[in-house]
Amino acid sequence: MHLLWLIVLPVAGALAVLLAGERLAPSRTLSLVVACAEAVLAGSAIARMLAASSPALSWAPGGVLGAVPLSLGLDGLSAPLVGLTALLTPVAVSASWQVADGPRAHHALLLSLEAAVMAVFLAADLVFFYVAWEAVLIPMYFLIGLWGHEGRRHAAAKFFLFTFLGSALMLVGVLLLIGHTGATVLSDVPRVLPLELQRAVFWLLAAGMLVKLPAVPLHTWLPEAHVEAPTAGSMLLAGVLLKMGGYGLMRIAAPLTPEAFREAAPALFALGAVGTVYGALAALAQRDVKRLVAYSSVAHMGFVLVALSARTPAGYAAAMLVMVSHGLVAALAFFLVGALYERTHTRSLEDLAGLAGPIPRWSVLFVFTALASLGLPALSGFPGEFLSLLESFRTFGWWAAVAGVGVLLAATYNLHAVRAAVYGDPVERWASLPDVSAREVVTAAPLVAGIVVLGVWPGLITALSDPAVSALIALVQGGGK
Amino acid sequence: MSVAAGLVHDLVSGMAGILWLPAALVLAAAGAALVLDAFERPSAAVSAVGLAACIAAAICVAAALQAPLQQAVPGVYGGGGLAGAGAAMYALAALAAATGMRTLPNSVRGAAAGLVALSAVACQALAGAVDAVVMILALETLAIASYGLVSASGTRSSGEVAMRYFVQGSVAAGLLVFGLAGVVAVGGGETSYEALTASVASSPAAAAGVLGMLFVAALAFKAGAVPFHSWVPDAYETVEPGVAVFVAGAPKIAAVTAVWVLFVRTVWASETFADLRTAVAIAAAASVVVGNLAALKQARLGRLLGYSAIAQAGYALTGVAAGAVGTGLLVASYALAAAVAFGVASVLKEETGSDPRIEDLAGLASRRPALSAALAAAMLSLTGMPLTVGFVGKLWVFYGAIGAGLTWLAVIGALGSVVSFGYYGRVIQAAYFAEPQAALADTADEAPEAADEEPLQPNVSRPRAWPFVAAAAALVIAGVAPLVFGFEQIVRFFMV
Amino acid sequence: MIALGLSCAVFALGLYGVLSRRDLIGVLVSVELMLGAGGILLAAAGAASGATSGAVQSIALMVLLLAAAEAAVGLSLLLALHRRSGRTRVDELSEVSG
Repeated sequence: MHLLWLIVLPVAGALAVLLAGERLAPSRTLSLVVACAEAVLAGSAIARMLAASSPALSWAPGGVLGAVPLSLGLDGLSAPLVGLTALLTPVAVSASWQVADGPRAHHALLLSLEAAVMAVFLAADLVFFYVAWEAVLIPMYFLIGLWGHEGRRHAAAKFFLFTFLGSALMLVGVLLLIGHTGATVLSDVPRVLPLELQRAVFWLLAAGMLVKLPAVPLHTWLPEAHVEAPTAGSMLLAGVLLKMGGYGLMRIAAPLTPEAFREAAPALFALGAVGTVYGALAALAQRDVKRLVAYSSVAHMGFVLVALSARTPAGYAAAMLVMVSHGLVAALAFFLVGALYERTHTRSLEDLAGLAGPIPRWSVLFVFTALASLGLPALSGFPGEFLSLLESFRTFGWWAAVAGVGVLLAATYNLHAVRAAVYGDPVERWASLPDVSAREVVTAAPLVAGIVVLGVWPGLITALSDPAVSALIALVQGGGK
Repeated sequence: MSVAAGLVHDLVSGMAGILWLPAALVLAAAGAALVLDAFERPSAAVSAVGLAACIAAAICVAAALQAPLQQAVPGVYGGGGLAGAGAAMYALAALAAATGMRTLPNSVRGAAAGLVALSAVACQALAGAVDAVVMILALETLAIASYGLVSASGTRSSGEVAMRYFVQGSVAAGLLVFGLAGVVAVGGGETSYEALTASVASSPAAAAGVLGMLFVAALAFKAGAVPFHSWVPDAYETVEPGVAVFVAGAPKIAAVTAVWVLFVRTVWASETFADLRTAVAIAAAASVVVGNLAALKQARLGRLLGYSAIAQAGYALTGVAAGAVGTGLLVASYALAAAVAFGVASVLKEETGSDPRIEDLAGLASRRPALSAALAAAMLSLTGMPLTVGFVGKLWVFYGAIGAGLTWLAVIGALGSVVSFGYYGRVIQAAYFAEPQAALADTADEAPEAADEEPLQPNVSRPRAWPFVAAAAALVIAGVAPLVFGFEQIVRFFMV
Repeated sequence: MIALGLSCAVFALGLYGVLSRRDLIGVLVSVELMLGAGGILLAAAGAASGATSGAVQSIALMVLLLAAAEAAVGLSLLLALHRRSGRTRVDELSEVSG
């Protein structure tokens, strides 16, 4: 029952904001209260999960396609992501503090987005998982289309269509699976399927997840969507939505079709490795700083693919670390870029220069973010990337060097952005920019803290996820129930 | 008071005995509407039809929940999923009446309402027919009423479209009579489906197959599937939106249900007619492809909904070819969503005086938030997005298709749904994301037929939008509730 | 057999008329021809099947009724069209693009 509240609370909050926002209280305050309550609730759910004897919570009122899809579960694999979502939503709400144009709808959509994403991570039934997966599209579509920047209409449509295409193929895969096994609750699905069917199901499922991740070459929706989305939208899109792809692969595609996953692992590794390099190079070429951050997301998520294609417990742990770290770093990056845009109304790296002078606190945060993004040891990016390189070396040998090149290139575009925007001679135009306010510092604080904590104590995440990860890997490698 | 309660209780528990009541009520209302129209009281006529349709829909809901499939009237079955379909069709008639049909010339409003009522009864008879003669009679009654309804708006183009529809429909009727002759020959004068099942099974497969093709063709024409789809876009474009609320959905429900009964449950259901099922599957795939691709290019809302109707007929035929239990739900959810879309169009037409182009929807979200939310919900349901009832229908149809070995058809259907967001999304985009143009006044120039028709009555009252907002809310609630309570109830409501 | 051939011939004639005639009255007549062809076949089939009940006769009458109703509707549509536009030729129906 506890788990159901994690989904119902944001929905109820969204309705409350829609109906009572601006009348009883400003919608942003209501929204923030709900988001913080959700965070507390998530924390307690994770705590209960840890305290329980078998570290998994589940709630299911019923069980097959003739009955009820609503079946929820929280275990080590979903707990970090649930925590990430619960942490990022209040931050995103706070980042939208200045939205004056239809704040009720904006905050209601943010809360609905949180509910949908929570539902994805908590789903323990295939049909419910699919419903939640698609449901995420609706608030995001409206967020981009209504509060986005100049190219928002095209970006919103492209985002929706691309992701919907992947999900439609995923639906066929899900239906094939259900039709063949007769079970929809994840724990009931037997793992042994004929190889032909496994291949078909795996690639159909992967189609949807790889689009979401995004894996090169299915990533083309991402730069536009990220750039045109409003700040909070970009934060949640990069911070949480992209993780759905990795989570789906780890939770659903891999364990349910293990042989096909084994066959596909080299291909997935290749896609991931190419992604890290391509994303970095593309980021390096960008003149729009928000687009640069968008391509850096492509690069980072490439590491997720590299890690999980290793098919080892440490590989999964690495993927989880990369996902959580990137969630924090990308959210912080988009927040800072958004804050900058509010002040300067330009995102062009050619115009922005020497910002260390007029806005030193922002610059410090920006440099910090860049360092975290490039994987500096002691910050959250390092453990995940290092472990993923290690595991992929163990499985794929020297091919892992390609991903290593990706790590190197990560430094180039991050430092390039920092040099262009922060350093250099101060420019007349930006001489009187206001620095980050107290509210913005408070908004960024949880992210900064998370990045540092995760960097020095990655065991926090791996301890959380280990039991579940080991169980899943046993399924992936054992190939049978 | 307790006597009344006792009566109601008896009525509800004795559902089996009064399955004919909804049709009788609505038929009476049709007659009343024609009389009232003769006395030049069009609003009363429309209201009578609306009231009767509401009551009929309520009775049908009770029958769907309580009464199993059984004979309602000799030759027509009712109860169970048929009552569910009937409830949907009467609800559509009620929604059509709710628009008041005020965009129609006053002289034909009452008659149009009467025709809608008559069509609703014909639809229910068609869906529940268990005798070939009854089916043909119902189909032709429906057809004739539809020709009248299409031409009701009184413009030159509607007259032409009605004429074209009539000619095509008559060819279909001619083929159907041939089919009837074949039935008589095969069945030896017995035309009920039971007798036919036996005689078709014992007659040469080729002859039975040809017979089956004739019936499929005629019903597929009514449903608007490829290759009999050419009347659909024109008809959906020229028929008045208030009338289209009914005409866009109810005949489709009836035709698909009739096809289902014939080809999945009774006469041609056995394995020997696998070729028929393949033909239906190919028609389904073609409809999905043609409908979705053609709809992408449309700029007028009516025509867009017309081509999308062809695609939806394709999804429905997918369900028929696969024998999927969700077919009834899919076609009913399509009909409701289309009704909401046309209802919104009707409200807009009443306000602006001309058929809305998609660009004219710009700024709707800020002008009329509830109405645009209803439109968005309808578009999402038509696409088949989860959280709407359209998804539940498609889920079960695709699941059935995969189970029946028609995975290729399910893939085509899924991809078609993706493509369909290309145009359904354009409608949402226009309503929400587009800048409102000051050129709304220019639309008055685009009505060349205005000189021909009688002037629209001045708006005495604000057009009624709440029934369609409520219907859109029902689309969403019916999409979310099965996630919590299970799919069984809602699928069973429409399952024949 | 003869009846089958006859009815197919009449049907084909009617279909040809529908597709090729340029005046709408001709099209309507061709439609009636098609329905009549069906009636012929029906009568023959009824006779050949040897059914003793009056069912087949009533079905045949019903088909006549159907044809009459279609004719009535078709003619009224034609009349309305003529009244509005003065055109009764198929190739002049061009307001709405097919």
